[in-house]
Amino acid sequence: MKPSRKLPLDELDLAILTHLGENGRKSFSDIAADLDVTVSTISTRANRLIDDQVLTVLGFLNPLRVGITVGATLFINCQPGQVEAVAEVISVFPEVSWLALFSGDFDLHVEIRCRDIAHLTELLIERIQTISGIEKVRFSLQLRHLKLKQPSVSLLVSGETSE
Amino acid sequence: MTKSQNLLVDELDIAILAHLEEDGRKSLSDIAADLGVTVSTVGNRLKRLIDEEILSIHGFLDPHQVGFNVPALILVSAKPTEIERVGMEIAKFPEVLAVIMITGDFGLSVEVQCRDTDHLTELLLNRLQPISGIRDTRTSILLREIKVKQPSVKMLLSDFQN
Repeated sequence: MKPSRKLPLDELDLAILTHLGENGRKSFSDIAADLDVTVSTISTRANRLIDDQVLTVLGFLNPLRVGITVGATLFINCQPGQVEAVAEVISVFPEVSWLALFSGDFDLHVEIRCRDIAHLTELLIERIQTISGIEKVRFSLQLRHLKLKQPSVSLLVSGETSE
Repeated sequence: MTKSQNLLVDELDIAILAHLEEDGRKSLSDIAADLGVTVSTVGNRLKRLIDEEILSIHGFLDPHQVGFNVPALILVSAKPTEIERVGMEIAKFPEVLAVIMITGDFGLSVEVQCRDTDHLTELLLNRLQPISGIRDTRTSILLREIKVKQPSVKMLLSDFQN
């Protein structure tokens, strides 16, 4: 199976993506030493990946360490034609960490993080269920994360489908 | 500046976190200049936040730009006693970004990135659905991501208004 690519990324780009995926502040000289190329090559490549928005480096707060302890997933069905308007309202809530449009059983998938159940209840009842255009909200509490990582760029190099 | 209601991070930590939430490679000197503190203060604070696993800094790929064109969410139901084992088996696949145990009709929520629909089909039919203990799967295709962000650090401030 041939990998499909929109940008001509070569193996060096993918290696840089892997390094910065693990540690977004890794110095270009450390990456250069590891990949055995010059620092200026790494800096040119990495800055191009960042400028082209192929790669975004962000700091991530560990919510459990700071008291944002309740994670939940909402599956929302909207009235026909209303999905974008509903999404626009939901996207501004600071508790929303991921919001995406889907085709299938539900229109919107929303991941939220709250300090506690009282905070979650307030968000659901006062702010989400009152949005006009929503038909149905299904709710699941997140119990445990078994895996959370990036897609493996190795899938793009070889076309392999298993590790 | 408003007070943090959290013992692990104070207002300066939260201000540093807010900078790095926008740009994870922002230089210490830019952050220091903006907050009116020394570069070494920012450096020390950042080191502590990372060492104590309060903050981690990662590069995120734009899946479409690198060639993962078919992102999907697969909801999986399994025998109650087998949910965690099934989840750990699914987690081994390199296409899988996240496996979360959830309450509700389906016990597992699985996020995947595939190159194309053939790749997704192969994953579903050949590798995922044959896992013993799985009762049902329901796959939805991700059309567009509207927001990808972490929970706002503003929620840690005591005067946070919902």
